[in-house]
Amino acid sequence: MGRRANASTLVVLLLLVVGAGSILPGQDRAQAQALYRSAIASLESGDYAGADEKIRRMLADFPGIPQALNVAGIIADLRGQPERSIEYFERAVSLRDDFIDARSNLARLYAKTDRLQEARRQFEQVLRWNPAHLPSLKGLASLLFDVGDIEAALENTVRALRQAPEDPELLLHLARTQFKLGREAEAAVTTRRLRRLFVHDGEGLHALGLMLLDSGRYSDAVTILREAAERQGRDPEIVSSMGIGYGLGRKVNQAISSFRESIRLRSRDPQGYLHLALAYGMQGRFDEAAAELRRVLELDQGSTDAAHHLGVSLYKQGLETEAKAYFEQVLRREPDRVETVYYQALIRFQEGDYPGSLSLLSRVLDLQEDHISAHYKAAQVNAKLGRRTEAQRLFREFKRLELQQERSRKERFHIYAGIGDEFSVFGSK
Amino acid sequence: MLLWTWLPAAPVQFADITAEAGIRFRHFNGATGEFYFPEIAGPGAAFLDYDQDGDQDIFLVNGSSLPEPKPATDPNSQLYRNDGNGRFTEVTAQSGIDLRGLFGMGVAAGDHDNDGDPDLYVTGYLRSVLLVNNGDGTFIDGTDSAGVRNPGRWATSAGFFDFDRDGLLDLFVCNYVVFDMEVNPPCSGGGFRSYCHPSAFEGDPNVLYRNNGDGTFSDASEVSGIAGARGKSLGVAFADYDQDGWMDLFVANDTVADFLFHNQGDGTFQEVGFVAGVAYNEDGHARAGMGVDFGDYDGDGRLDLIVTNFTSEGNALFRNTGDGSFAEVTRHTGIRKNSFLKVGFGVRFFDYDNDTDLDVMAVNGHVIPRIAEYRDDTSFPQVKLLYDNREGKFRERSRESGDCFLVRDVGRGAAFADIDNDGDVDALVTNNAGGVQLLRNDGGNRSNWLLLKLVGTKSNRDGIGSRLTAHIGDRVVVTQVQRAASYLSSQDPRVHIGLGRSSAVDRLRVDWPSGRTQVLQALPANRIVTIQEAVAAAGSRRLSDLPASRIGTREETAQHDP
Repeated sequence: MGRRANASTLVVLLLLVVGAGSILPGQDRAQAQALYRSAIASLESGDYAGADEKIRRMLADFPGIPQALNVAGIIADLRGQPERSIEYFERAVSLRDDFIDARSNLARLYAKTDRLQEARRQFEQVLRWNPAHLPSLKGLASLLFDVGDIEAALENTVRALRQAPEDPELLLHLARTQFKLGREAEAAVTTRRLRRLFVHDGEGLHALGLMLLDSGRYSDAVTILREAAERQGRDPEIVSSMGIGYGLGRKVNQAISSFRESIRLRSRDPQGYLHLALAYGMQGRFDEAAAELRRVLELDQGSTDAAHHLGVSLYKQGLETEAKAYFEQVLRREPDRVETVYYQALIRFQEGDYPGSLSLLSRVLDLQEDHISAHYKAAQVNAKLGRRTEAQRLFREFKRLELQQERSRKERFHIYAGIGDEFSVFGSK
Repeated sequence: MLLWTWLPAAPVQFADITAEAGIRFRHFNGATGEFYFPEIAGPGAAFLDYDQDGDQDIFLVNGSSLPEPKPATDPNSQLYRNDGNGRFTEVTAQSGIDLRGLFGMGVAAGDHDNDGDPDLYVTGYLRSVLLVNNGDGTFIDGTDSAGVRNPGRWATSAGFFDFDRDGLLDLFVCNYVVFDMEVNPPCSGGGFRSYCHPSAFEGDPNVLYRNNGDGTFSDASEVSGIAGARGKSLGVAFADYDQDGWMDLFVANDTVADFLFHNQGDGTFQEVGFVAGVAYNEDGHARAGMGVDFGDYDGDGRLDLIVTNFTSEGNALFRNTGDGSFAEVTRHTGIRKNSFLKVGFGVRFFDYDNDTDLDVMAVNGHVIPRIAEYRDDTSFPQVKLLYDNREGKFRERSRESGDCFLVRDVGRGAAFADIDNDGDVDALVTNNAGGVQLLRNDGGNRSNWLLLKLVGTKSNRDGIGSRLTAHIGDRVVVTQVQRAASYLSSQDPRVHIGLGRSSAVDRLRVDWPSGRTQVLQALPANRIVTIQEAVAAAGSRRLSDLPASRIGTREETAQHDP
C-alpha cells in the first residue's frame, strides 16, 4: 500500500500549491509559489532529494508558512527521515493550531515512530474538529489495530467507510480487522468484494494478498498473489510475496521456487536472497541458507538481519567459531538484539565458558524476561556451576513458562486443529 | 596389525529379501476413517531364537479392528521360523500364538523365567500379553498369572532388563497417552480429518514390573519412582550410562520432555533428564521422541544416545561426557542430515560394514496420511536413512546402499539381527498398514567380525546388561547386551562386533550384571562364540587354539575352567 499512500499524498500536495502563497506578501508570493511548485514537481517525478532541497530553500526564506512546513514534513518522511518530518509537522501545528492536515500527518508520524499515545491524542484532536477527516479516521483505526484495540479499530474503520464506502485501503483494513476478530464470514465477504474491486488492478491484488498474509490466510493469499502476478507481469515484489505466502503456508518448496524467480527478476535485491535463505532454514538446509546469506551481505554489508541469520545457519552446522564472528558483528550495531545475545550465550556454553554464558543469558533475560530458552539454558548453566538452588529456581520458572506457552498455543489454535488448518474465503477444499 | 579404517571396495548393499524369504505379513491397523489414534502408531517386530536352533526367528505384531476387535476375523500377529537357508516359515498356528482381537503395538523378547528360551511380551492398546515359551516351539498366554496385563492402558515399547541385579529379568512398559475411543476428538490437519496432536491427550505414566522369580511380577512403578514421571512414552532403551553397575533407562516421549531414569541401586530411580541434558533440545524445547538406542559411537568407552524425532527436529545424538551428563552433538556429527523433514521412528546403532565403529539406520514415516496435500516438502511414506560413521562423523549413504533405501514406506519399527549368521547385521523394518522389509546385508562381512552370545548363570540367562569391552589392536570397542532398543521392537541379543581387518579380538572383558567379570584372550575373527557366565573367579582362556569347522557360521562355546 506504500505507493497508493504516496499517490494520495501528492493529491494533497497539489491542492496545497494554490494555498501556500496566498498568505505571503505580494512581492514574495511569486517566488514562494515557484519554489513550491518546483518542489512538488520534483516530488512527483520521484526526486525526493530535489524536492527536499527546494522546500528547504523556501523555508529558509519563509520559515513561518505552515503549509510549506507540512510539505517539508511529508518530503522528509518520504526520504525516510521521520524525526525531521515530525519536527516540521510540529512547527506547522505550533504556527496554526487548527491545521488539521498537518496535525493528522504529525499523528501518523508519531504512530510510525511508536509514539502511540501521542499519535492517538493527535488523531482524536483532529477528529474532534472534523469527525469526518478521512486520513485521521484511517490513521486512528490503524493505530487502534496495532495496539490491539480491535473493536475500536473496527468502529473507526466503519465510520471512515461512511465517508468513502469504496476506499480500497479502508476495505482492506476492514477485512484485516474482521479476520482479527474472528468474524470469518464477514471477512470473507469483504475479501471477495476487494477481489472484485481489484480485478484489473495488480497492485491492489498485491495489497489484498499482503493483507491476507498478515491475517494468516496463507493459501488464500497465494491465490490472490498469483492473480496479482498475472496482472503485473511477474513483478518481483509480488513473486517474493507469493514466496512468503507459500513459506508461511508450509509449501516451502514452492516458496523456494518463488524466491529464486524473484532473484532472477531482480538479482541485486538482498531481500530475495534473505527470503530464500530463510526458506532453506525451514527445511534444515543450513549450508544452502548460509550461501544465500553471504550473498545478502555482499549486496548489503550493513544488513544485521543477514549477519544474524548467517550466524544461526553456521551455528546449526556446528561451525561456532565462524558463527561467533557474525554474531559479534551484529551486536556491535545492535547490542540489544536478544536472539543474537542468546546465540552468543550458547556458543560460550559450548566452549565450556559457563560464567560467560551465564552473563549473556542474564542479559537476554534483562532484555526479555519471558525468554523461555534463556531460562532453560541458565538453569542448565547454573547446574553445571553447582549452583543447585538457582538452577532449580530457573528450571521452575522455565517449566512455568513452558506451561504458559502450551496454554497460549491451545488458546490461539483450537486444540484439535493441526497445522495447515484454514478455511478458504474463496471456496472450501 | 590393525587397519580398522580400511575402506571396502564397494559399498555394502542391503537387499530386500522379504518375498524370497517367504514373509507375507501385512500390518492391519483397523483404520475405518474414524482416525482412532492407536491406528497410526504400530507395529513393532522382534528377533528371537524361539526354538533355540541357533538362528534368529521373527515375530511380527499386528493390530485389530477398532473400536471393537473382531477376534474371529482380525488377522493374527505372526511368528516366522528361520529355516537357516534364507527362508522363513510361518509357524504362528503351530506355536499356539493367538493374538487376534488384541490391538498390538510392540514387542519385547526376553527369557524372563531363565529357562533357556525367549518369551515375548506383546504390548497393546487397552491390554498387553505375555507369551511364555514352553521350550517345545509353542507359547502359552501367561499374562494374567504373571500379572502384567497393563489393563486399560496404551502400551507402546517395552523391554526386559534386570534393574535390581537379582538375576531375573524385570519388565519396563512405556505407556503413551490416555485415549478413549468413545470420546475420539474430531481432529484435523490441513483442513482434513486427521489424527490428533498428542497435546490433545493426557500422558500416562510408565510401568515397571519387578520379576518375583516364580513366574509372577509385582508392579514396582510407584515404589521405584517410575510412576512419578508422567510422559507420553514411545521408545525405551537401557544402559548403564554412568558405569555404576546399575542399568538405567532412557524413555523417548512425544512432545514432552524425554526421561533419563537413573538407577540408584536401591530399587529406585531418579529422573535426571534435565540435569543430564537429554530431556530437551538445547533451546529447552521438548521434541517428539519416538525411537531410541544407546551405543558408543565415538569409541570413547561410554554409551551415547540417539533419538529419532518429528519433522523440523530431526535425529538427535547425545555424546556421553562421562560425568553423568550428555552433550548434544547433533549439529557437529551430520546425524541430522536428511532427517529434518522426516518423522523418525525405529533407530539402531550397528556396525553394518564391520569397520569397528557404530553406524546408524533410521526408519521414517509420517503420522498424517494427507500431509503431502498441504506441505510440499514431506510425505506420509518416507525413505529409510543409513548413516556411515567415519571417526565420529556420520555420512548419509542410503542411496548408494541399495534400492530398498529408495522405497518410501510408513516406517515404524526396526529390528536388527544377523539372520544368516554370516557375520553382518541385517535389518527388519515394519510399516504401518503395510508389509515388512527384511533387508539382508550383503558385503558387510567383507570385513571381519565376531558374534557373541552370552549365557548368564548367576546373571539373567540372556546376559542382558552385560558390558563387553573388546580390545582390537589399539582400538577398544565397548558394547552391551541389550534387546530393547529402537521403536516397539526387540533386537538380536547377540553382540556383534566388527573387526575391520583384524583377525582377532585380542582381549575381551565381560562384566556381567551379577558383578562377575570374565576375561577372554585371543578370540579369532569370523565366528559365533557363546560365552557362559563363569561360576568361579575370573580367569582367561584362549579360543584361538580351537579348530575352525566352518568359517562364517562357526559357533564356539567359551567357558572358564572351574
